[in-house]
Parts: sequence; C-alpha cells; structure tokens
Amino acid sequence: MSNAKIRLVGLNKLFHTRFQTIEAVRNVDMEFAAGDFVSIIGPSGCGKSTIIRMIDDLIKPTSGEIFIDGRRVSPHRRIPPEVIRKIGFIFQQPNMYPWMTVRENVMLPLRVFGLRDPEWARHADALIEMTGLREQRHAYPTELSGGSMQRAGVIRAMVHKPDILLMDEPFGALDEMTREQLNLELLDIWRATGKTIVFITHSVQEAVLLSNRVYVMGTNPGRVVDEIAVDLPRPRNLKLIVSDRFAGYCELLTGRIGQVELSQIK
Amino acid sequence: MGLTLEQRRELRRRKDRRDRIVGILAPTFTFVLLLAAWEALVVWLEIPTWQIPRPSSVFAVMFGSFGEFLPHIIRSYSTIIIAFACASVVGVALAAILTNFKALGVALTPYINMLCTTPVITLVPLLLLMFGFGQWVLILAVTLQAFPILNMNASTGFNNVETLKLELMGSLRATRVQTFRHCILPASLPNVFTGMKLSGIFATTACVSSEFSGGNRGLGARIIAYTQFMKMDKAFACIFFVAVIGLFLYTLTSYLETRVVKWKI
Repeated sequence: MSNAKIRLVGLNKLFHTRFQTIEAVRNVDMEFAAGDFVSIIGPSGCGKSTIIRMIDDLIKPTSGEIFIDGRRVSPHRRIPPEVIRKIGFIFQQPNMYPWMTVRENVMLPLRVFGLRDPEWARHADALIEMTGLREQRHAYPTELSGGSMQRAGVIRAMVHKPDILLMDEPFGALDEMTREQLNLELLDIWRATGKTIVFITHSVQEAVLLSNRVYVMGTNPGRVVDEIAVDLPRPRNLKLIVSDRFAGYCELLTGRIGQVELSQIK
Repeated sequence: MGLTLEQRRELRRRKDRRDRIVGILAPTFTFVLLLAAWEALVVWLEIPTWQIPRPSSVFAVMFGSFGEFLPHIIRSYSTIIIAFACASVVGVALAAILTNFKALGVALTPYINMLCTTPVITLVPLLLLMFGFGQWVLILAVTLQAFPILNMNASTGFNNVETLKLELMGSLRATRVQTFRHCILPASLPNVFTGMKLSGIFATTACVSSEFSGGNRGLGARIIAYTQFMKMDKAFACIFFVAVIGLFLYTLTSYLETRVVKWKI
C-alpha cells in the first residue's frame, strides 16, 4: 500500500548504555492510512514511545525506513521542515512552558515556524475558543487544572494545521473522568478534521474506544505481536463502553497483552 | 474553586501586598533594635570610642562629613556598578556560549572555576604594578572576580533544562537560537538571578578588598586610612556605605527577579 500516510519498514532501535545494549525496538512494520485513528498498546518498555519519537525524528532509528506521504524521511538525513509541519506531537504531560501564558504556549509553534500571518493567530484563537479555554487564555499554566492544561497541549500541537497527530499517552496522568471527557473531545476533533492520529496508550478501554486499529506490542525486545481491527460503529460515545461488543474487544486485547506478559515470565 | 482567575489573582495581590509591608517593617524593627543594643552596650561597658564607636556618632559623621566621603563613595560605587554590569553580561553570555559548544565548555570551565575560587585581591597588587592606579584596572579586577560565579550558576541552569521541555523544541525543529530564547533561558532564569545576587556580593567584596591593597581612593582605602588614625566613627561610616551598595545590588536583583519571573507564584 503506497497511499499510506505513514509507513514504517523493518524499524530497529538499539540503545547503548554504559553497561549494556538494549534492543528497544526490533523489526517493526506499521502502516497508518490517511485519516486513520490507530493506537499502539503494550506494557512499559515495549518501545511504543520510541516508535513515535522515531516518526517525529526526535530519535534516529538504528536501521529501517520511515515514509511519510510516500517520501522516505529516515534514517539517512534530517527530516525536511515541510514534513515536520505535517506533524503535531502531544506529550505524556501537558508540557506547557510555565513562563508563557496559555495563549502564548498555544502560539509557540507558529512563532518557531515563523507563521506571522494574522490568519494563523485567528486560527489559534479559534482553537482556544473551541476547547473552552477563552477565559483562561491569559492565565499561566500553573493556574489551570490538569485537564485544561492537556487541552491546551492538544491544541498547541494542532495550531500549525498538521495532518498527523502523534500522541504519547496524552491523558495517562489525568483522573478517569477527565480522561473520558478528553477522549470524547478528541474523537470530535478527529471527526471534524480528519487528521491521522497515532495514539500511544496502556489503557485497553481507551484504545478500543478511540481507534480503528490497535497494534499490540511486547517487550524484550520491543516488537509488534498482534494487530487488531476494532469494528465498532461511529460516532462513538460513552454508551458504547457498556455494550457487549465493546467488552468483547477489551477482553480480546487484554488477552493478547496477557499472553505477551506470560511468555515473558516463561 | 468557585473563584474566577481575576478574583484569585486579586487575592494573591492582596496577600503579596501584606507580605511586602511585613517584609519591610520587620527587618527595620530588627535593625533599630540591634543599633539600640549596640549603643547601650558601648555606653554601659564604657568601651573607648577608638575601639568601637557608638552608632549615633557614626550616623552623625555619615551625614555631617558627607562631603568628605562623597568622592570615595562615587569612586567605589561606580567601580562596583560598572563591574557588576560587565560581569552580568559576560557571565550570562559566556554561559550561553560554553553550554552550546560543549568542547569549548570543557576546555574553559575549569579555568573559569579557578578564577572564581582564587581571591582577586591576590592579583590586584600585580595589576596595579603593571597598569597603574587607574579606575579601569579595578573595574577589570572586580569583573574578573564577579562574573565566574554567575557563569557557574547560569551554566547549571542552561545544562539542566527538563528533557521534555527540550523535546518540544526538538519536535518543532527549532533552531539553537530559538531553543535558547523560548526554552533554555526562561527555564534557567531562577539560576541566573541567584548567580546575579552572588555576583553582586562578590563585586562588593572584591572592590573593597582591591582598594585595601593600594591607592588612596575609594571606601576601602579610606577604611584603612581612618583605622590607622583611630578615627573609628569614620571607618564605620565607610563600612556602612559599603553595606548600602551591597544591599542595593541585592535588592535590585531581587526586584528584577520578581518583575521578570512573574509566572512563579
């Protein structure tokens, strides 16, 4: 399939520490179609964070290739700027800069990319409006709740209109209720914008609720052990969570992850 | 949390104002108390004034003979302030360069640290011999003593920015200058200001001790001269003038910090 938005082919990553070499990722092949919502799930240490950092060129793969829009971007040279603008990265923590107000934080990518047209500022304000942060736009991040901060983190990654959102366990640090709320808001954003989303999580429920497809990863070395399509109707809402089919998918995924962990013990 | 952002900020402002008033009144009270105790002790124990003067006579001399002190105050204060300004610029700029170009940092840091740990007073007689008694020689010496401590603190800050914060800049493929301006410098401002406070203290000490070691101008030189002639009230007056500039630099830096680092609650 050459029309994949992102394609990873035979990706390997070795980390060298002073005492040992760790095989973080072994021979990973993945494909993400344009407009797809795909989760990567697995126990800690399975290399899922490493994978999206390699897609974003924050980490160089040891070997293997990464294609974005059919164009090879790794490993031989630096990822070109026009490709970087296609990507928005959302961190585990809100990762707001405490010395900037919420609005300044959201506008930061525009400043770095040199997008000075007032049109962009209006776009930023529209995103702030959409997430209900208008009242707090001149507040400093420490004055916000955890949920509001991560909302700001999400729209900061979207402010330069990227096609791709890479999300590294974005809601992992939030309480259950805030997390569900943000998951639903994310689904709304995805439906409205049609972005390609790669979503890292260790919550089975979250993966099933959000994604079209789930990659299950195992540890030692980090590798893909299964790929499960989630065939549930959209738009999805919290009612879905109590349905039998949802429970079925959760069981299936939990089972696969459980097998991975059992095989580790043996 | 039924309060709006503005209300919460207003409450904080009110609390800050209260804290500030207490912050001025309490130390002033201590100051007056200490002086009173000093005055009382000198009188009761009948300590001769050529050993320890009474604070009241020190203040009388400070204001009464102000004209006599003025040229020396100007000389010392200008040395300290110019050197402090130079040290601030050199300290931060050098830290930015050394933390960005690792090899250069590794090559130079031990010697900057050495400069910091070597008392400048050991160099001053040499410098005065080589260059004469011009003020700029002292400014140079004081700058040399004052900038390394700021450089050390700023470097610590620049080198210890959270990985996650830097990754954000990495994910935007920011240039080095952008990363420094938007991320590294603001994240390190608390370290920079700590460095500046120490740098001000170093500058004051270095200036006075340099003046001890030669020449007849400046508050340091006057302290030596007055002590030799047992004019203790005047010597103490000079000490007080030195204390004033030291305190001024410290307060100025603290004030700048609260204005610049306004996101810290």
